[in-house]
Amino acid sequence: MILRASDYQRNGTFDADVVVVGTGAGGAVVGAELAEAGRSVIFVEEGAHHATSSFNPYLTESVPRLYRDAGATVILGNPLIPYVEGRAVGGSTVINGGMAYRTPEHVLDQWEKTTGLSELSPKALEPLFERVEQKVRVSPQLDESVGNDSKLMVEGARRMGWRVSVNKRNQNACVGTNNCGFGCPTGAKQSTLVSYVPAALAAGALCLTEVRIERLLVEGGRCVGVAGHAVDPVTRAPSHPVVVRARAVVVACGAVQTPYLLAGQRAGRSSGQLGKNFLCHPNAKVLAVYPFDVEAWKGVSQFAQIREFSAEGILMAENFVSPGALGAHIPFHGAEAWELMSRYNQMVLSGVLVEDSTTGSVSRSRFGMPEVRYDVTAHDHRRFLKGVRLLAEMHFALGAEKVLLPFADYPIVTSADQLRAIDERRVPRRSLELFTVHLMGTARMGGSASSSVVDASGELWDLPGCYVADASLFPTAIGVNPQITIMALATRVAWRLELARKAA
Amino acid sequence: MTIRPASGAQAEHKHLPVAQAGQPRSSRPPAAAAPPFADPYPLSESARRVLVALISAMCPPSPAPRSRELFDSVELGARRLLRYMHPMVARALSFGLLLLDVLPVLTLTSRFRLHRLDAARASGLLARWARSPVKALRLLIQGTRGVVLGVYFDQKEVHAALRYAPVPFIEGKIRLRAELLRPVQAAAE
Repeated sequence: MILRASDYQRNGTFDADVVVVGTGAGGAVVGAELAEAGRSVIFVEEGAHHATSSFNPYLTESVPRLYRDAGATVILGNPLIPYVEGRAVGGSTVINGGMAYRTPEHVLDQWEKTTGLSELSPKALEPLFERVEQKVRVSPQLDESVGNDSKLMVEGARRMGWRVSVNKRNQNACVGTNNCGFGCPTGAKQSTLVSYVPAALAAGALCLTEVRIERLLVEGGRCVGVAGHAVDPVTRAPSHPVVVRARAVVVACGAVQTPYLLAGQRAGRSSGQLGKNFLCHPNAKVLAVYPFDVEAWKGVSQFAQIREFSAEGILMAENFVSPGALGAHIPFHGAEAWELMSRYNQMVLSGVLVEDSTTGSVSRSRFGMPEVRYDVTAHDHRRFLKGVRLLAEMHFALGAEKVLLPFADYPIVTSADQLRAIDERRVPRRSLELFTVHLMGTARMGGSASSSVVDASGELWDLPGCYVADASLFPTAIGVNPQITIMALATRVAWRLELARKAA
Repeated sequence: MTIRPASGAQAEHKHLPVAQAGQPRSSRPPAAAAPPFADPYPLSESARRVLVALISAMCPPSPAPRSRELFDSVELGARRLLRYMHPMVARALSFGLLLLDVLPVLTLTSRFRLHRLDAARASGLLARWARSPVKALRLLIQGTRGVVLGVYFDQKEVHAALRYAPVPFIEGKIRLRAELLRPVQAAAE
């Protein structure tokens, strides 16, 4: 059953075995696993429930409903990095690209070594990955879904002699509407909205939507629930109070909101690691304009990734978006904007993702919102310049007329020769125009209370009864799209919770 | 806007795999599950005047689509986005609008405030400020430009001018998917 803001006028107090804050890749999985195991589960979700039939290709309808703060969220630092995350039932899985990668083995080896937790080894996580992949139907794309921009990118990589890997995705007969970012209008993408959440509801879970949790309830040194307010759907202001009491509290609000909530309670701070180790896989967009129609909006986003440079922590892929989303990010307005945007059907939008070589932080600002800080390193700066240069060279090799670069002071080039002038002096770090959607690592899991925020079960070292189950758990960056890793770790958190209950 | 499958069976969601596979669904019918939009952000009259001037200055000139109705839609969309932003961010942006209005006078660029300049002149000033060495000013221009152009390029008239027609395309894809899944569904039954 799903409740919404107006429902709490009658009753705002609830009780359950487990309350799960968040319904994305972490929260939905924990809730579904526990509900199916017979526990009474209540989800609390700040966003609303939007059915598949309501998804459409319009930014002005999708972004307010599905994105936290209408996408107006930014990481402070050099340079500033806008980021987005989902705020709806299904969380960021509703708006992500649906890439379904397991954590690379070398990353898990490193996690096992640095945390001392054998639970994080490739062998230990294997059954969890298998279970998750089966639940969200991880499989290769159908040929019918592949668009011209993907075919161009694959051809470009072939010409350059680069290695390409076709993406596996969590999908069931995806036909390539290219609307992943605004919600899948066919229901093919197996976001938690159409996979784990319905399974949990069928097993008796309750989902309280349009409620923002503001604090944890702590009694006798143990977490016993959460409290917050319904969000008025008309004014967006807090309205009726909502309290959920539970034997266990699972916080799964993502790597920004989870530490924000915990820090407000002074929980998870004994090691000094809460909010630290923020990771974000920053990426830069390269927009190529061709002398022929590509119609990149007709076909699945990110059919493949160029992995030739993955040993250096550089990934490349196409990722096309609607005119609204593109128009919001181009560095022009007026006639210049039209000159570029009128070539919309001839564009290919591609990106360079760089694996973090540093970490940032999340804290509570005095303005009642999280303050996220992250500075790109000199090493990452060089990798961005290299990745952008290579990607632009590939577009010119394919016959592109011009390429819009993600550099504020150096936006457009019309030949490969002009790319040679790109160096750290001409394109300083502050000039990089980056973006991110992979937020990780602010409540890291570990084997010691002195160096981590939660233990191998996801439970806070200093607050029994309170668990974390989202990308905050990651000890380091993973270099691939994180949802399958989040789901696997969340499954482990659920199983551990169930084991602990049985033992008790 | 709701995309309907060709069969017209949108209410039953015959095209959804969750329904086809007999998987559980939420207890609310989908039609009732989409809540209404929040009210547009309540800008003061002076801030609203500046937003209107910014829309006129930032949106592309002819041959790009330009009309009173179109600009009204852009204003509504922009104020809706503001409503869903964090209240501090929305407040900062609305204050930023007032600041932009007086900037031509403060910088001795013009005797008139921004909202009184013609669109071409205001557009030129905004382009110059977008390259300002003052980071806060650059950010303010980028933020307001992102909101205005994001909404402008989301309008149906503009889509038509760009030869972008996503709705029939998606409808065709929904039909294709139904055909692809039909044998699976038949086998399951």
